[in-house]
Amino acid sequence: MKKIVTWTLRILAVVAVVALSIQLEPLDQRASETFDPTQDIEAFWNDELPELVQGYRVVDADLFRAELKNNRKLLVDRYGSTLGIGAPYSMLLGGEFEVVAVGEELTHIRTAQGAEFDLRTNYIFGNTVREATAAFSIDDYENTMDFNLVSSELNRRIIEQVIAPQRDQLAVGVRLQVVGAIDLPQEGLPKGRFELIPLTLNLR
Amino acid sequence: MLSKSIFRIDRSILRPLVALLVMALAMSFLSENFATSDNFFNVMRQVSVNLCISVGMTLVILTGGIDLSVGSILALSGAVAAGLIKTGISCEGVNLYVSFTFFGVVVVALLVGAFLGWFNGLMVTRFKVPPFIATLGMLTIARGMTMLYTNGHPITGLGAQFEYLGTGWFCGVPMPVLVAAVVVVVFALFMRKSPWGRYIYAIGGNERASRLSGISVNRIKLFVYTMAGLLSAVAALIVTARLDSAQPNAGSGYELDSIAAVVIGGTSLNGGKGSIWGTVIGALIIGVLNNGLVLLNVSPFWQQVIKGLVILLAVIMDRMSAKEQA
Repeated sequence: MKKIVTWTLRILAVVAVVALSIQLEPLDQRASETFDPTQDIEAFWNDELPELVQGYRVVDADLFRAELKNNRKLLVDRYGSTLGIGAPYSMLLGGEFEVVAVGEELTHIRTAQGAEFDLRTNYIFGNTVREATAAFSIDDYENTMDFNLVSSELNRRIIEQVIAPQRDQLAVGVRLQVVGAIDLPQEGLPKGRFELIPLTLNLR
Repeated sequence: MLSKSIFRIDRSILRPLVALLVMALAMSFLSENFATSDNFFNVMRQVSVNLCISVGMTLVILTGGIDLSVGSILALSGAVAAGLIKTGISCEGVNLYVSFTFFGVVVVALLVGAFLGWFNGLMVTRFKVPPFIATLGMLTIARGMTMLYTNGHPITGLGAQFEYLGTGWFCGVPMPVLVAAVVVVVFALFMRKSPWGRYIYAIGGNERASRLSGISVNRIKLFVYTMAGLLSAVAALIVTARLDSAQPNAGSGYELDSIAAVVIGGTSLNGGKGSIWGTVIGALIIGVLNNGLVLLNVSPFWQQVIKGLVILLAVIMDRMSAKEQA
């Protein structure tokens, strides 16, 4: 009898904690209220991005290398976009490259004039792509989490729709045309090569 | 009678207590901004996070163990709390959306912390993995899980009710300080008054003798690591609420600050000797040192050097005192 009472009290306590902890509502009712990054970037991905990668905001890879030494400020002012103090300048960069070496996450590529980059072909994180496009503003979002979900969705689509269909064809000597996003630190240079996250990737 | 016993000052903490007073006095002369009520509450708020973690760390170190995973557990518990507030749980199969109340978020965050701590304890007791390695593994696991859960992004905008926990005041005391004070008193009472508190000292003093005298060593150790995880989750709630966001890299390096607080407070790294009140003083010393050096405009690089030297000094004094007693 004592055991039954003890267990009843324990179960009641757990039920009370659960009842005080959660609220239930139909999912479809909730879905209309929550932010959907897939829907949010649909128009950008289908309509704006194809124009953006062919537009004046894409810096040529060789020009980038030259201006980095000669006029970094021009690069930043003309092509760069940044989240704020301390954050790198993100920009769109394009050109024709040849594959020098293929790695699991990074593929070493080089232009005819010798500008070298690491093409990211897996595990894309961060806000480089979102910032480089300069198409999204924090002011348009309710909170930074929703803003960051835009980055996650862009990164996911790049992996699945841009890289995955062509990853197996990447081999040493293959020529490719890429427009992608890079981060330029506020000061100095990255330790290795600049990483280029592809937005379009055409193998020739 | 009871209160006398809880707040009784152990002789071993006299040295850190004097050091704290001297340091506070020196800082008040060196910086006019140090001895102000605003700065006092500022220091207390900063110390409260380290204090919660350090109380758990004290229990672990008293058994002769160590817990390197507290910072990562903090990050994961905070991320889970923030994630539940922001997105809840969607059950598509049954067309159900589960949202969490403030109480629910606190309960789940504490359960996450306690579970990870329990897992550490399981590794140490059941699989005999040295505490250093077991908790080093958890440090990486929990950090990785935090990155996976948050996708590497902060989770922000957690609402006024949750924010109150980190920035609110209750009866003229900042909430984080109040939470830390409750933690300290509960665990000081536990260590002094409960048999399990005495067992923790006994295990650290001589594990074999404790086992032979009938103490369930594994059970106590499991409990101790679970509490360390739970208290990391308490700290996680404070940090997340204070910042109104869960950062995926939150808590990095907190394990070192908490170990420092425990050691400076006179707890022996060999276990069996120390107290919660010593840890309180140790955490205050670290807090005053951090705050004072910032007020004095000391370079952050020098701050690290000075903090390291203080820790070394504390350990050397601990060794010398042990030698004297022997």
